[in-house]
Amino acid sequence: MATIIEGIGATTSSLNSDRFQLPSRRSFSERKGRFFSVRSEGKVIGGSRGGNVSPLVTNAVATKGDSSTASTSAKPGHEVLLFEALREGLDEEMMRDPTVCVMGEDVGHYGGSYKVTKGLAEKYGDLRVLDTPIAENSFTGMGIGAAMTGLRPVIEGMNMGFLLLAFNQISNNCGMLHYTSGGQFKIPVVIRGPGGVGRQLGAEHSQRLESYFQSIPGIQMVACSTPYNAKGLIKAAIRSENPVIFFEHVLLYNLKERIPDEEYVLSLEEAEMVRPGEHVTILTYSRMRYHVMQAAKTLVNKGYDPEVIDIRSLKPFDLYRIGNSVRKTHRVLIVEECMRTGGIGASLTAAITENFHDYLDAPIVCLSSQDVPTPYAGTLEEWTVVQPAQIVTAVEQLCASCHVDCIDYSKDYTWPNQNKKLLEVSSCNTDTVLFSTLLPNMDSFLSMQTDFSHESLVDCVFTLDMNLSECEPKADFKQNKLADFGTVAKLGTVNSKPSFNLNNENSSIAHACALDMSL
Amino acid sequence: MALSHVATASRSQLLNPLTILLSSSLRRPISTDTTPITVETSVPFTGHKCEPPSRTVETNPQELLTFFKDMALMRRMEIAADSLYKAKLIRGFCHLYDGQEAVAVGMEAALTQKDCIITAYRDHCIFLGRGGTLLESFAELMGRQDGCSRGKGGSMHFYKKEGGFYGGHGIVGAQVPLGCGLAFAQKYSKDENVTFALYGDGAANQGQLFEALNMVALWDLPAILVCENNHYGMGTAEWRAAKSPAYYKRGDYVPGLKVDGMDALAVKRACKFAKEHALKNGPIILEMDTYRYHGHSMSDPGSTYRTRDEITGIRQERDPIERIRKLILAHDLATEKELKDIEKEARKDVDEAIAKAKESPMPDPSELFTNIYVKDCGLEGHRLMGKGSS
Repeated sequence: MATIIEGIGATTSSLNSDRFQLPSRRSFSERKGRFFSVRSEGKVIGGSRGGNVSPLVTNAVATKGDSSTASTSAKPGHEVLLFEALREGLDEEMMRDPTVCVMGEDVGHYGGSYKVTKGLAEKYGDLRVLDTPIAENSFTGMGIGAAMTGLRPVIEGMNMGFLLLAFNQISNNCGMLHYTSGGQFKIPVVIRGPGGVGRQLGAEHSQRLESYFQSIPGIQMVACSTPYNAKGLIKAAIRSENPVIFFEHVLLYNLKERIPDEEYVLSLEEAEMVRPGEHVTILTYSRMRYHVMQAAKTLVNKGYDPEVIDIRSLKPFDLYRIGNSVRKTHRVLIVEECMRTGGIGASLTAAITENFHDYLDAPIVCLSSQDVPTPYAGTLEEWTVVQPAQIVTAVEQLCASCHVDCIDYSKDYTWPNQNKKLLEVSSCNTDTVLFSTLLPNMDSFLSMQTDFSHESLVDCVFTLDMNLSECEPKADFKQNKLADFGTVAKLGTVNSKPSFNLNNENSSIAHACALDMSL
Repeated sequence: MALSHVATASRSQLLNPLTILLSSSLRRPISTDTTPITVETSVPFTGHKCEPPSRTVETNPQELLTFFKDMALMRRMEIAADSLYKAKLIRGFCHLYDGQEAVAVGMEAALTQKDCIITAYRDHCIFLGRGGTLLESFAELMGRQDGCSRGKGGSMHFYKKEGGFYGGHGIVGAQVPLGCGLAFAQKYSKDENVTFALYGDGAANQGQLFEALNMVALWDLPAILVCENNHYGMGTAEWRAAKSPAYYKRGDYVPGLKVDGMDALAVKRACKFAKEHALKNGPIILEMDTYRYHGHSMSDPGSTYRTRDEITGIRQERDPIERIRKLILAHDLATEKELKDIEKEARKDVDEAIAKAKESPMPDPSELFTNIYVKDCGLEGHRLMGKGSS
């Protein structure tokens, strides 16, 4: 009776005992599992059609340039550091379109405080790469005014935190002018700069402004995380007719990666699939991507299969790809560097709950930075941001609950990561469904919630309280609307295992029940 | 027809029969007479770090009559807006410009439509000067579809892209850096045009103004910063808000010029001077000494911080329309009745525009979500490539 359904990537090797499966969600009408595997690829201009040009970067964990690939002339593409990738993107766009110009503090002669604009002033002149005085409010306003006439300025904030001084210009003029002028003026600016928590830079230089800007209507926000997506996204942002706020991270500038020689532009609203998986969706962006990938290594060793998505587009969220992932894994963990209060994670949690509530087996877990000013002391600073160990713990906790939908009596269901059978359907006919629970012998309390719904959408909830150490069911029923469906016929043991019977007056129940269990 | 040598008396006799004929049969056209007339401005210009232009201004009958007509229209429009606001057809904020019309028409006379003007929220008349129509203006004020910003901007957000009018901004002082950006773009494209960035005496104390000033001076941008000094920043008189109310001197290293803002010809002269200066020597500040009859906005009676005598005094002595009227009558370019007819005409135009604007529908609910982003929100990577797209 029991057949094991293999998930993608499962093998029959000895490792299989560590791989665990969760049943796929089925709709009432169809019983086939559907798996979505979505990848986001930047397609190459003039290159081979639909080719996966750059492999998914799953090993770029270090914040310093690592020696992952030795540069060989045989390999396609060229190696760059992230700031160089940004510069390449800027350079290409400035060459392509004479209305693109850069303005900011120390972008010209100094070459940029993070070397992103190094060499551009010599190439394009002082007007196109403009060194501004330290006047964020007015030079941001200046960029926006220039954009009203048709120029495409790239405004750099030396640190994103300084752009708080230009908040009025960004919110009112940048975001809203297209609307308040009835569509007469477009503001194709890019406002870029590094933000995020660095290495003991102090509170004022470690700010994450994406949460403050996210409510402004009319702007788009993207966060780059790898050299590949940095170049592709900055090009897309410059070409966009809408104002884009482009978030970079102080600690990611020295990441090294091999990027294509050919020109490529990525989509501003697309999320990036970093690592496909089955058990949990981890949504992240910017620097936290690397903490997540580090945690993923540990998780894989422990037998979990996390799906990691770099959301990239902070406004608007790529709910298409995120939704596909949630539908597959049913569990969501958000890992972000924003503050807990009012952060990107908070909005994302709301968006996912609104749209995909039915697909969630557990509440969304959001790991964010603490709601504190970032302290200077190294140890304290470490505790403000999310660390890989916390991510591992969160995933373990998240996967400890299991939702089983639409019992298929031809299957076995196992606990995640324990290869222990959870539930066995002993028999099922049109009247009765007999479940036997096969639970680890722990002194824990199990509560089983059973949702029944049929055509008239009446819900029925059981809670069954079982003390397993006595291996004797202790029935403590809480019943709601039981009369609509049937009664619990018998509570007893089957093969010394706690079990219960449900009398089923409605034959559709056999197809339509779901069990929620937590350990 | 060279009339310059003919004495004024005989010229008027030549004109009169014509005008009687015209006014009886057709709507009176603006005189196309471009004979130069020399006038002196009411007060001389005062300069700061620059040589002020002379107070002798050249004009001609056509220009004077155009000034009169335009100012009469603007005055009518603002008064009508007052009534509409009290009738609750205009809501929210409504900042009226009556009293300051000379700045709008004088500036317009000195510029082309390729030059840019940007101002704050007291923008209805400048919008008109830049080519906006009465219908667009009233419809926008009443929040209708036919408004210049499709009803989504309101009184403080009039824009006219084709006319080189960049708004229309609600936050005090925020338009000055934008103006700086317009000038930057003009320098970038090397197109020999200038930007006039207008602000008030209240905004003159904003930090971003000095930031912008520094930048325009540093990079020699063709920007003229115009302070419309109506002496009150909402309810606070200038001497209570500014240590140095000599706003034309506030530029320090940037030259400045103080102008009688109630004299349209002086304004025109100053703006022409400023435009030349900006294209040759860099930015300049103009301070227009002007006055608003209404309060700061419709919710401000305008009389708690100034006396009614002051307001009537200015109206009697310095009103811009009266000045032009006296000039026209003194030079016998038109009769009293003709001028009254022009004002009646203006009233009629305004009433017609209001009636038409009232018929314009409210914006459709779907308009709530239009123009948030430009159509191609962001960029699809695959759209870019011809060959590789799916």
